[in-house]
Amino acid sequence: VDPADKSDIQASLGGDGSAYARLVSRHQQDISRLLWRFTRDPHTHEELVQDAFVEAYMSLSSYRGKAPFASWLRTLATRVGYRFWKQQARERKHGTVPLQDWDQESSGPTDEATAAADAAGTVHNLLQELGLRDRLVLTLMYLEDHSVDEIASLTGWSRTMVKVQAYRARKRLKRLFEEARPQ
Amino acid sequence: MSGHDPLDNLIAKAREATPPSVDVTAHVLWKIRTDARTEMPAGPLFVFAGLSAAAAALIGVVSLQAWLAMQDPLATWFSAVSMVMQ
Repeated sequence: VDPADKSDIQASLGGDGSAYARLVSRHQQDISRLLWRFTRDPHTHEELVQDAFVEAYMSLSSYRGKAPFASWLRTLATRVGYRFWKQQARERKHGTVPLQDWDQESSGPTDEATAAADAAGTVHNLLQELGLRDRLVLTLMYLEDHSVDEIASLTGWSRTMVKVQAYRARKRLKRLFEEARPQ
Repeated sequence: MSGHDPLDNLIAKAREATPPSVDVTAHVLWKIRTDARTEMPAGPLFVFAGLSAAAAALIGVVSLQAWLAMQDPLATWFSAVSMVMQ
C-alpha cells in the first residue's frame, strides 16, 4: 500500500475529512476512466464517480490493506458501475439501440480524440445489446485491459467462468458487430 | 487481438477515449457530511432497547407469578400449613 494512501486512510478513519479529500483527488481520474466505460452520459458518469467514493468512505474500515488501495477502489467502482447497468436494464424498454456507423477506412474523423470518442460510443452501444455479464467481462477485458485473474478478483467469479464468459461474449459481440456494420 | 480484425480495431480505438474531466472531491465530502448528519446515532437506541428488554423481562416474571397464583390460589396457604404440620 502506498504510504501516502496508508496515512490518509488512517486519518480518514479518524474523521479527518481533508485526508479523505486527498485520497479522492489522488484516485479520481483512474476511477473516472473506469466508470466512463459504464456510461456515456457525463452527468451520470460524475454521479457514479461520486457514488463510488462515498461508498468507499462508508466501507473504508473494511479495507485491510492486503491489496493496493487503488485495486480495492477499482473493485468497488466496478460494483457501482455494474449495479448502474442492472438498474438501467430494469428501466430500459426493449428496443434497438441505434448504432453509429463506424468505418475506419472511409470518411476518417478529423482528429484522434473524436475518432476515439466515436469508437467508444459505438462499442458502448454494441455492448448495450449484450447481457450484463457479457458487457462486464468484455469491458474489463478489452477496454480496461484486465487479465483473467484480475477480472476474477474484480467480479468474484472463478477464472474458468471468466474465460468461458469472455469467449462467449466475444462471439456474441462479433456477431452483433457484423450485423450492425455498414456493408 | 490480431489488429486486422475491424472489431479489434474499433475496440483499440475505443480504448483511447478519454473520460470527461471530473473533480468530485467537494461533492463527495459534502455527501458524506450530510449522510453522517442525517444518520441516527446508535447509542441512545441501544440504551432504549436495553431498558425495554429489562422491563419486558420484569413484566414477564410478575405475570408468570400472577398466572401461577390464579391457577391455584390456595397453593401458598397450603404450603405454609404443610410446613407447620411438619
